[in-house]
Order: sequence, then structure tokens, then C-alpha cells
Amino acid sequence: MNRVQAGNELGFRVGFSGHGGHLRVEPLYTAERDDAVNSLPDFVSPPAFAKETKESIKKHIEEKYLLPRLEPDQFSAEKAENQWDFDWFSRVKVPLQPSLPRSVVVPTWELPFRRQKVDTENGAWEPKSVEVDLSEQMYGDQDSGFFPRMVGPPKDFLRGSVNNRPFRPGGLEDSQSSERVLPEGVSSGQWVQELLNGGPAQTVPPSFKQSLDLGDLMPYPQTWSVYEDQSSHGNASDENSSKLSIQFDDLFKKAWEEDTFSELERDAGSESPKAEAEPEAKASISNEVSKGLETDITVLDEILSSAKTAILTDEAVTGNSDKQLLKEGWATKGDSQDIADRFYELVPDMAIEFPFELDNFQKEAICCLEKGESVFVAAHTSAGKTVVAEYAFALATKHCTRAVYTAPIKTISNQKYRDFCGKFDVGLLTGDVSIRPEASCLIMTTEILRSMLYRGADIIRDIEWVIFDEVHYVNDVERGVVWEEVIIMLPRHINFVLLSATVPNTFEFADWIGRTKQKEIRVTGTTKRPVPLEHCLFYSGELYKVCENEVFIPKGIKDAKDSQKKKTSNAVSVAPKQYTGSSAHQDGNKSQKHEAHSRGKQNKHSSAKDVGKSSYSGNSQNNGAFRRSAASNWLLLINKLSKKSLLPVVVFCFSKNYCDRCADALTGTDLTSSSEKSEIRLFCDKAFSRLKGSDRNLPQVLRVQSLLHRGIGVHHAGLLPIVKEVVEMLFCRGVIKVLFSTETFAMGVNAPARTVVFDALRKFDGKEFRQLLPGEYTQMAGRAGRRGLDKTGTVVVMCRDEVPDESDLRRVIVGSATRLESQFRLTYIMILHLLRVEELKVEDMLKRSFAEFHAQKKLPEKQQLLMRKRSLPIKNIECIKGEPAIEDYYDMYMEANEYNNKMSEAVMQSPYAQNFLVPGRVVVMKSGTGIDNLLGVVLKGPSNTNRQYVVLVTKSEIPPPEKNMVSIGKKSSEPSQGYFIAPKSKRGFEEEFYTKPSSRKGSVVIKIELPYHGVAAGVGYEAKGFDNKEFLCICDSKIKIDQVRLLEDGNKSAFSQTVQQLLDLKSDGNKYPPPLDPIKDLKLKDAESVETYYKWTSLLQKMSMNKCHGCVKLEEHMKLAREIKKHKTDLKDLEFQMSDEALLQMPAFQGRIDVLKNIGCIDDDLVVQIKGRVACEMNSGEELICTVCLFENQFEELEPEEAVAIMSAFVFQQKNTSAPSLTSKLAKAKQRLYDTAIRLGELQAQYNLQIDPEEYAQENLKFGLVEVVYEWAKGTPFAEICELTDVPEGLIVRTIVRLDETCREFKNAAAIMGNSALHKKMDAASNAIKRDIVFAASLYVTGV
Amino acid sequence: MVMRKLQLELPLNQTQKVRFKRAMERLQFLSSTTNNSVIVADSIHEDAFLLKGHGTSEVDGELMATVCGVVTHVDKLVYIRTLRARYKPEVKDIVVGRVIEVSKSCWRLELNSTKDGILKLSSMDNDVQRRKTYVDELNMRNIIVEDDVVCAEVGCIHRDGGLELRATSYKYGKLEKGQHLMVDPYLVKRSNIHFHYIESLGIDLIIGRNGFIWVGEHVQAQDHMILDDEMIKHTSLETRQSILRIGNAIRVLSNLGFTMTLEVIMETFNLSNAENIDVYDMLGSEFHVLVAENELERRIRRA
Repeated sequence: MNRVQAGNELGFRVGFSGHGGHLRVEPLYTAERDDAVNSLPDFVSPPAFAKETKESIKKHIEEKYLLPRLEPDQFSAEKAENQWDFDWFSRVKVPLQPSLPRSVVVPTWELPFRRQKVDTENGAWEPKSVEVDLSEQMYGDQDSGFFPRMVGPPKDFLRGSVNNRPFRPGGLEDSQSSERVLPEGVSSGQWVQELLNGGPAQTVPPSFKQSLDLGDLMPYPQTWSVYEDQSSHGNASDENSSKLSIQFDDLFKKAWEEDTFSELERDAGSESPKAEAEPEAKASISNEVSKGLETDITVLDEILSSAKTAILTDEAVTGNSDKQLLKEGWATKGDSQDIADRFYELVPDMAIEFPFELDNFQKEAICCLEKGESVFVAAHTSAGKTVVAEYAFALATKHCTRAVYTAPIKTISNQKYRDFCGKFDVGLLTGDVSIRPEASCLIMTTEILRSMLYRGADIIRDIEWVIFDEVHYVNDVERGVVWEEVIIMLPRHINFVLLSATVPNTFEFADWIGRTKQKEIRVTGTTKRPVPLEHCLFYSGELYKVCENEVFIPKGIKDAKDSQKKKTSNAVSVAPKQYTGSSAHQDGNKSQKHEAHSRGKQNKHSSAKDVGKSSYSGNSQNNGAFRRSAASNWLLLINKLSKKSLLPVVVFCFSKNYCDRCADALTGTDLTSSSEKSEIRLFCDKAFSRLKGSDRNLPQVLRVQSLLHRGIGVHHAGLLPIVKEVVEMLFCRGVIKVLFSTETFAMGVNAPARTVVFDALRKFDGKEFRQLLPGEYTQMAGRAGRRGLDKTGTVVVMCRDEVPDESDLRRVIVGSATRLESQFRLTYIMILHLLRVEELKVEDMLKRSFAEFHAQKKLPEKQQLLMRKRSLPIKNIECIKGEPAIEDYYDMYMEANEYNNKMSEAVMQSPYAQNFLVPGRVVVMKSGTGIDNLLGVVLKGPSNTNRQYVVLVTKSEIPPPEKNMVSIGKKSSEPSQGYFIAPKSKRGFEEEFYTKPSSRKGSVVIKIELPYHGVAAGVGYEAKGFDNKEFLCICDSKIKIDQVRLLEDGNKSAFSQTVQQLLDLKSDGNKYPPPLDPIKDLKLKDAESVETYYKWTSLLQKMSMNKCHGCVKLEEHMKLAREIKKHKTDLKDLEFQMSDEALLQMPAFQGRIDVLKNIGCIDDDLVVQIKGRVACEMNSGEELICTVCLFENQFEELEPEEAVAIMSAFVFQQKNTSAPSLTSKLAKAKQRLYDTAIRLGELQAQYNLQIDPEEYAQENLKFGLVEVVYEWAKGTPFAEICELTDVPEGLIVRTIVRLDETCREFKNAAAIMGNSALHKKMDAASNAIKRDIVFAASLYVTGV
Repeated sequence: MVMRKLQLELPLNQTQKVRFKRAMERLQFLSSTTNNSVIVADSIHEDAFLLKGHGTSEVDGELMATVCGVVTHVDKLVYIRTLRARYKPEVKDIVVGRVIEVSKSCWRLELNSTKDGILKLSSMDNDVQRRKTYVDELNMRNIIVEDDVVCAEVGCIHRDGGLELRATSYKYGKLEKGQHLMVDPYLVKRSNIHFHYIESLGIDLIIGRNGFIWVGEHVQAQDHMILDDEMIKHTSLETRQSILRIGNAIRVLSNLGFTMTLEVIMETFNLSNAENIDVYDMLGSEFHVLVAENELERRIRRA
């Protein structure tokens, strides 16, 4: 390594290099050569290496390996002729990835998507931009539909699978702290400080832990500072520039002058002479003038800009009208007029064109949809809500996403499917059909959507819109909860379109949805009807108008009443015998009425059976009479209406049977022309041709067909679905003139009539007869008036016997509809589903329910309050006696007070107590301030004039004399205290007491001022009147007093004597002398009061033991303690309200959890067990009964037909039916199932759920159709099974259709349990029932 | 069976043998009331009208077991809970698995199930939510490579038994700095908590439902960026020892066939500390006997 000095003459030198000592010849260029010999190196080389020692080796190794460096020879600067011709550092491509920005600036687009007319100054158009938080965006993406989630198998795409987890519902606050974490400096304001004040330069990049290690290169310690005097600096520069400009001006003075003058002349003639007048001062003036000019220009500019801004603000107003909306929470309401005016500007390219001009609310809604906002539309029926739904569909089609339309009942979904079929790519999903599920627009029932959500079907990810039609269905007791569940469960990326009838609290409801989903909801709608309604009464052949254009006309009803009076008086006066005789009219009415009213009871059963057996040809006397009367009545009406050309008409009756009978009563009526007849015949033939031979001749089909031919229709749930559809379709074609229907027809089915008739204003709602609700009335009345065909719609209320009261009518016609209310209730299935979901707890679901909405809305406020309360400094009581026991004392005091109140009643009212309260008795009194109790002595008992006791009490503090005066003044002003001394107090100031030489004993007259204060023996005392409630305790001892001297003379020495005696008693050790024995002395008999008495006295003793007792600052401390206590209870209260425990449904939830545990669906840690998983599958029947019956293997010995027959009990819904005749096997199975239900009911009742076992079993198991289904499954024709029961055909079909669904669920359950036999059985059962008329496809779906 | 295996493997001396035998016998005695394990083709003698569940079959009117395991009744449903079988997945189970393959846009995980678990790239929650692009697929190895241990959740089960996993939450994902243990799946009961953080030791314990257990240094759920920094830090010796100790405790319990719960594991851990047994002695015969006796004591206490 060391260079060997070989010589310096040679042109080369020999050296050693490397560790091995290699010889090397190196030419030397610079050296001169004179002596070649001398320069020869001696070849005796020194040892190449020093002797190896440990140290040297170590040093060598260290040098070699630990201190790497370039070979100094090779790389020495002077020798380095060759240079590295590339820069390593530029070549090295460090994949530096910039960290994601926290926020990005994106251009905003506002509807309409056009450039704005008003450009920026330089003429270039700049889109407005807005800063968007990236993390928020990301979070949104992540959240919307769980994109990281795997797409499941295509089979489960639509309906999902139980194995899937639901998607994360929207509006959940994120538990996983996706909140962006700001660096410490940001939140603490450190960064801002730095920016403002300067400081050392940052060496650590943001979000790095340490800076680059520069090794020896120490970072230059630099600081940066901010100009403190920035403003002054700026001013200086301003001055500078102004100076400069002036100089500049000077240079061009001439030019300026000329310019200004010419301009001045043009601009303002008034100023120019002034400028001309003084040519010397030209410079200054020119300056001035130019200034003036400038101001002129600026004024101009201002005008211009103001014009500009005016336009701008105009734009802003219209564009941002949302911002100025009345905003309340999450629901917003805007001015629809504004949007409507500029609608085509805002939505230039509509996703779908409508052939008619849209209403304002429709425009507003569409505008919102275009912006991707959720909308709530409340409007009357047929006001055109569907337009909004259609637009959402169109948008989904345009965006290549999906939209889901949910309707409360299947008829609506079927009809909507048919309506939308031509326009969109529509699919239909109901319990029994599934058509084109891959379509972009899906129509389904809400239950299906719910199960899709629970099962986490992948299709949820694609959905952009969910349209809830008839969302006021949340009010439905039975099914309303489904809507709430769905709304709560929908993931964040889905927008809502809510269509509802007009309800008073739309806003509240929308607010709830908005809050749960954390999404703004635009509320719009109209109360206007497209076709105004006229409400009439129909009484004995005459129509009386009672309401028009939402204005109630009392005159109409009066007229009706008058005519009624006339008639009844006629009837009474003319002939009572007519009444009993052949006045079929009245009589018939009576009987009909009677029947209608007893419909819900046992009568119904027999009559229904009767009707069924005789296939609707009533031959009993009653029926005949009814028929005649009803017929005449209806005929009267129909004639009237047809005369006024108010047909077609829908008659709403509130019972299926009654509908049928009314229709059948109109035997002779024929309302159709021949061409219409042929149309009806053709249609019917075509429609019914799809039925199997024998089914075509079902009595119902024939009967309805014959009715239809005459232009009369019937529509209710008892009809076969296909018949129902035929009726609906024919009605829509306008060939049916009179349609008798139940309430279902009003629900959503879009089949308006000219006139709507109410048979009655009362209905039976499953529990009781009640008046129609205004909402129901409005819904049904809304069917009147066909849009575009009629000018007005007529609503007729039938009056038979009597005209309804005006108030009733008014309420029902113009009253406001029922408020939307939460029908939320917990179901087992909901709990089980939710227990399987990690994200959403049951408590969360409860919290988000509409029922809890108001409580939850106030939560933030409460939270703030809580925070505030918590942050309040807790006052400490500084006790001079060491550790303060005031809290205990306070507690005891409160308790004692409670006892006292109880006791004062018991003790003081007792006659014995009165006996003891004689003058001289030592007592303990409550003091007025309520803190310390006072020892006193009774001076005088109650007299006739004065019901109060006069008691002398000792006080701990000595009242100053002034206070005495003041208190007298005060007291006398209070009537309750000073009433009986009021006359005396007038002269009470000069003398403290009034003396009168009277010495009569016994009837002592109080002469002294009450209250009388004084000081004796170092303690203050007071004589005062007391109510007997104020006695705390009557003591054992008595002292001698001189009544006369005390009360009449007010002798001071007498007072001090008495006080002294009292104090003597006190000094016995106890604070108070022992109280009277309650049993012995007071003769209390009630054991309870004796007990309280003892407790109370002992408590008093305990109180006196407490350190605080008798403390000087007791009163003060008591006050403090009370404050603290109140603070604490407040806190506790608030905390409770904040917690989950405060939820309304919490007790029910706990109970249900316990039931589930007991059954074994979940274990103690709330882990869902196999039984729970099976229960999750059960949607159609009561989940617990289904599950338990499965696990008890109740279907083991049953054939598939029998099993399905028993299962019908889960889905059938009608209560009173004819008793089915069952085989012994079926009867046994039925009994077993019933017992199971009873057992489950008992179990639930045991866990404090409000359930009556009997009722529970009957509610959930209805065996009415067991026989029917059994026969059906065995292959009996439909006509025959109808004979077996009185249940209408429609219900049979519905039940069997639902049974198929149940079979499917049981099949899934069997798969979970691993039982193949059950699986097979259910398969067979499902196949057995799926045939013929029951599973005939809907006409709406397949088309006629 | 357990005993036989253990006796073969463990060099027990005479006293230990006696003690061990006694403990095991008494344990068996304690649980004899519910001892109804069957092997394949054992007939299950039960009343009529039983609902046949998984692992049962009716042959000639007699109910037979088709797997080895314990007969379980839920009301009338009879099914057989298998022992020593592979893991049978259920949705939402939390599992620990080892990556065996990085394939196209997914990782395959060994889960001791009949099929490999599949963890798709798209169901892996990276720190940043982004569109899963082709580049991401190429970079999959940066996230997880073969032989990494991953904790995930069963997302859904295909009809054919295929398993899809999910690691969408911050608590799932790659596991580092710890020990991966395998026990029989039947030793792990499903509960609500499978992630345990033993605070006193600073150790994470993940008891996967598939019988794979992870013992590792506690990782705070934080930004990945910061996490990378922390990787430089070494696990302290103390923590490593605790990890090993818990690992060995689990091994012992597994050898003895005791159910894994946090309680039992911690008790065993504490026992080893109390008895002053070194980490490497924990797998010795003495400790086995001690644990068996301890377990016996515990069950007596509970009963």
C-alpha cells in the first residue's frame, strides 16, 4: 500500500501495490532524468507487511471492510483523467410516489351542464371549482356497497343467500375511525402559529417520523421569519409607487393634459372651464382631474360590475336555491315554482320525455333526481307521482345502473310492471314470480327487498334508486316495520324516491330518513288534485252537495237532515203499520244494517257459509229482503248517476261478502251496450282460456262473468287473482259501469272512475268498528275523477237510515290525514339477522327507527349539555371538621324528610298526638329554612280562631335586632304567616310587645308579636305559629312554662327561663330528648307507620351523631350538597338518556333475546347457533314456531301432502272459517303444532313480553285451510276444494301461493340441518301444490 | 386416544405416569355424562323420530354415523360434531391461514379446510381504497407473498365448499412478528371475540376458527405508513419469550385435547410462570402432567 520510494530519476518507478505486494512499474512523466544508475531501485525490498499481530489484523480488517473508500491512487484527483461521464444520481430512478393529496380541486358542475354566460374578466371561461376532501370521497366509495366484497355466484345474484352478509347500511357513523387523522400540529394550532410568527425551518416532511439523515452535513440551522410590519411595509411600497407614478406623470404631463382635457370636455362640461381658468396650476389640476376621471371610471366600472354581479347573484339565487331553502335538519323544501320556471334550462336533456307538461312538483322532483338527490313526493292519488318514479327508472337506464320500485301489495307491482313494460327494461320480483330479474328496472315487493338486503345480494351494489311507492304504508301495523327496516338497511350509495299520499308530517318523516341515511332529502309535493272533487250525500234518491274544492258546505248537510226529518216524521205520523208491513225499504235497510254490523261476529260465519253453499243465490227470507232493498237503493243511485252521466262508479264497501251481495242484488240491471258486451265477452274468453277445463267453470268465474256482461264488477281479496285482474282491466277500459269493491282497490291500483261511492263511513278494521280515517277516505275518494277525462270527480256518501253528523263528515272529508307513525317492532328474525352482522347492532337498528327519531334528534344537544355539565367545576365543600360527611348527612336528611312527610300524616293526625301537644310539651320542629331541626316547646295549642300551635323554638344563631325588625316587616306582608297579627303589627315598631294587665289563665290571648324573637342564655329563640305538619317529633319530656307571662306579657325573664329549661334538656348528651313511644304513647296501630316511625327516629339520632350536625356552616353546606346532588342526578339522567338503555324497545329486546337464548337459537354470548340460522330462513311464517316445529321433527311421519297441509297454518290469515274435517293423522299433527305454539307463547310471556299464549297461538296458526290444502296437494280439482270451505277462492289461491314460498324456506332450512329427507319432502310438497289455476300467471305479467 | 398418543410420545417416569393417568381418568369421569362420541358406522341408539342431521345416515332402519365425532342433539335434530376432521367453514368465522399461492388477482390460503380459501385482491382492504387495476395485480406480492400468515373472515361459502375470504377491516390482514400454531379445529369454539389482546404482555392472540392460532406482538391498528416504520423496531426479548410461552401453552393444551379459550390459555401460561418452568421445558412431560392436573382442578372448581 505504501508507495516505495524507488527513485526519482527514472521515467518509471517500481512500486508495490495491493495487499499481495505485486510489483508494478509505473512510468513517471514529470520527473527529470539525470542519473539513471542512481535512480535504479535497490531490489532489496522492505518487508511487505509488518509483522502480523492481533491488533494489526484487526486494524486491517477494520480498514478494509469497515472504512471503504476509493483507491486513492486510482481515483486521485490529479490522476483522474477519465471522468465518469454519467451522473449516477440522475440515472437512478427512485420510484418516488407522491403521497395522495388530502384534498383535490375539482370543477363543479351545476345543472344545466353549460358554460356560464358570465365569464371572468379576461374573457376565458373558467369552470367553478371546489375543494373536495379526498378521504371523504374514498370513504364514500368504500362504503358504498362494500366494493371490496366478492361477487357471489350468479345463482345468488338476485336474491342473495343466507350465507352472505348484508351490505353496510348507509348513514352509520363509522366505528372504525375512518376519520382523517390530522397531524398534531394542525389541531393544536401550532402550524398556524408557525406560519404567523416564523420559526426554524422544518426538516421533517409531513407524516414522516424523521428527516433524512445527512450525516456530517449538518442541516443549516436556518429560521424564517415573517415581516412583522407587513402592512407598514406595504404602505411604504405604496408610497413609493405613488411617488414614482407621479414622476412618471410629470414626464407625460403634456400628453396627459391633452387627453384629460379632451375627455373632460366630452365628459363633463362643467369641470372644463375650471381647468382652463388656471393654466398655471395645470399640473395639480390635471392630477386632480385625472383623479376625478379615475373615480368616474371606477364608478362606471362599479355600475358595470354591479350589473354583472346582479346577473351573477341572480344566477346564484336560482342556481343555489337549495341553499336558501327552508332547511330543517336533513329534509329540505324548496320553491318549486322557481325550478319549474327554469326547468328546461336546468334539465336540458331529459332522460325521458313526457308527452304532457309537467307539474311544478314533478319538475322539482325531476330536477333533484338529475342532481342525484333523494326526493320525497307527497301528493294525492293520481296527482302524477308515477312520473317521478318513471323518471328515476329512465335515469337508471341512462346511467346503466338499476332502479328498484317497491310497492306494498302485489297487485300494484303487477300493474306497474305492465305499465312500465313498454317503456323500460323491467323485471318483476314478487313472492311467487320472478320475471327478467336481470333487468335494469326492478319491481318488487318491499319484503323481497328486505330479504335481499339481509342476505346481501350482489345486485344491491348496482342499484342507484329505490322507489318506495305508497310510503305511508309505514303506518300499517303489521307490515309497516318492513319499510322502516328497509330504509335503515339500505346502503349509502342508494338514493331514495319516496312517493306518498299527503300526510301531515311528511317533513318529519323525510327528516328521519335523511338523518338515518345522512343524506339530504328534498321534500316536494302538492296538495292540489288534478281533478277537483265534489262530495255529496245521497239520501233517499237525492244528492246533497256537502263539499266542493276542499270547502265544506254545511248547507248541503242541513238540507239532507231536513229531508230526513220530514221523512221520519212522515213515517211516524202516516203509518206505523206501513213500517211493520210492506215498507220494504226501511225494513230492509234495518236488516241490512244489522247484518253489516254483526258481520265480524259469528253471524258472518253462518251467513258466509250459507252464501257459499247456495252459490250466491240467497233464498232465505232475510236475504231476499236485503236483496230487494239493496237493489232498490242501488238502482236509485245508479239511475241518478247515469242520468247525470257520472258513471263509471266505484262503490266501496268494507266487506267482501257485502260486495258480493250488493252486486248479486242488481239482478235485472244491464248497463252495457251491445258493442261493450261483445268486448267484454271477447276479453273474458281470452283471459279465462288459460285456465284448465274444470277451472273455467268455477262458480266464481261464471258468476263474475255474468255480472261483467251487464257492466257490473266486483273486486275484493276473495276473488281469484285472475278474475280480479280481468275486472281491473275491464274497468280500466271503461266498460264496467259499476264496480263494487273493498278498500284494496283504492290502494295504488290505478283505475280511476268518475264517481266514488261510499257505502258507509264506518268500517271494521279487524278489531272493532270505527269511523273511517280521513286518510283512508282521501285515498279512496282519490279514485274519483279521471285525469284528462273529467272536470270534476264526484264522491257520494250513501246514507240509508240517517244522515251522518256534520262534525263526522267534516272530519272525514276535510280533516287532515293520519300522521305517519312508527310501527316499528322487534321481530325475532330481525334480531337474529342483526346478530349475525358485525356492523349493525340491534341497538343501532332500534336507534334509527322512526319511533326513536325525536329522541335521537335531540341527542347532540343532550350530548352538549352533558359535556357542559361535566365540565362544570364540582364545588367542594370545605369542612372545618376534617373530612366532610355532608353527603351522608344530606342523604340522611333527604331520607328523614321523606319519612317525616309520611309520619306527620300518621302521627300528627292521630287524636293521641293532639293530646300530647299541650303547652309545655317539648317538641322538635322543622325549621323554615329546612336545614336544622329546632328544639322547642309548645306554648299554646290550637284554638278556634287560630289553627296553629304557638311554639317557642331555640335557634343556634343569634338574630341581630335589625333583622328582627325586618323580618317582622316581611312576615307581616306575607298573609300566610302574619295574618292574625296583622292588625297589631301596625304599632309593633316602637314596642316589641304589647302589655296588658290581664291575668286570666287558661284562655291566654296572645299579645306578643308573632314571631317573637329574642336572645336568652346565649341562644336565640323565636315564638311562632306552626302548622301541625311542621312538627318533627314530639318528645317525651315536658317543661314548665308560664303561658301568661310568656304570651301576654312577653316577659323576657320568662322567656329566658323557658329557653334555659330547653337547653338543659339538650345538654343531656343527645341533641334532642327522646321522642314519644309510638305504640305506647301515640297508640299507633298501623304496623307500617310504626316501623317508619322507628326508622325515622333512629335516622334522626344518626343524623345528630354525624359530624356535620350542629356545624356552623351546616346550612350553607347543605345548600351546596343539594346542588351537587342535583348536578349528579342530572348527569346520571342525561347519561341514561344517551345510553342504549333509554330506547323504547329495549325491554322488549332484552326479553326477546332471553327467549332466543332459552330456545337455543343463540348461546349465552349471543352467538347464533344452528337453530338460529334455521330461524333466519323463516320469513313467511312465525319464525319461532316454524323453527321449533322443524327441530322437533314434527313432519317426520307426515307425507309431503300432509306436511304442506299443516304448513298452511303458518301462512293462512283469516280467523274465522268453517272447521276443516281432518284425518286423524292431520288432527294429531295439528294438535301438536298448536301445543308447540302455546308452549312458545308461555315461554315468551314468562320473559315479560306482552303475549297471551292462547292468542299468540291462534294469531300465528290458522288451521282453516288444512283440509283444503291437503286435498289440493293430493290433486283434487280446484272446484271441488272450494266446496270444502267457506274461505273465498282468492284467499285459497293466495295461501297456496305463499305456501310454495314456505316450502322453499323449509328446504333451505333442511339444507342447513343436513337432513336430506326433509329437503326431498319439501320439494315434493312444492311440486304437488304448484299447478293449475293457483299458479296461473298474472295477466298483467303475461299480457292477455 | 389422546392418552395413548401422549404416552407414546412423552417419556413419562413412573410417578408422572400415575399422576397423569389419574388426572385423565378423573377428567373422563367428570365428562362421562356427555361422552357419546362415535366412530364411523357406529349406530346411534336413539328414540324414534329423530331428525337426521349432518354426518348421519340411515342404513337398514338404523341410524349410523358417517363420521367420527360427538353426537350432538338440538331438540330432535341429531348431528355429529366431527373431531379431528378438517375445518368446516361458516360465514363470518374468523380464520387464520397461510398463503400458499399468489395467483391471478387472488391469494390462496391454506385453512385446514377441504378447500383452499381464496382471498381476492378486491376483498383486501388496502390503506387506500382504489380501483383494483392491473398494476395492483402485479404488485400483489408487495402486500402478501407465499408463506405469509393472514387473518381474514369467511365471506361466503360456495355450494361446492369453496371459501371466499374477506379482509376488509383494519383488524384483518397480514400477521407479522409472531408465531403461527395449528391445533385441531374442534378445539376452538365459536365466540364473539376471536381477537384477544393480552395487555399485560403486549401480545395479540388470534384464535382462528379453523384451528390456526396466531400469537404475536401487539400491533396497533394504525396507518400502514406508520406501521412500516415500526417494523424496524425489534420485538423485545421479553415479548418474544411471552410469545413462545403462550405458544407452548397452546401446544400443550392441544396435545392434551383441551378446548382453547383465552382463559385456559392464560391459566396455562400463568401456571408455567408460577411453576417456574422454562419455555423450552414446557413441552416436557412434567408440564403436561401439571396442565392436566390443573385442568382437572379447574373443572372440579366449576362443577
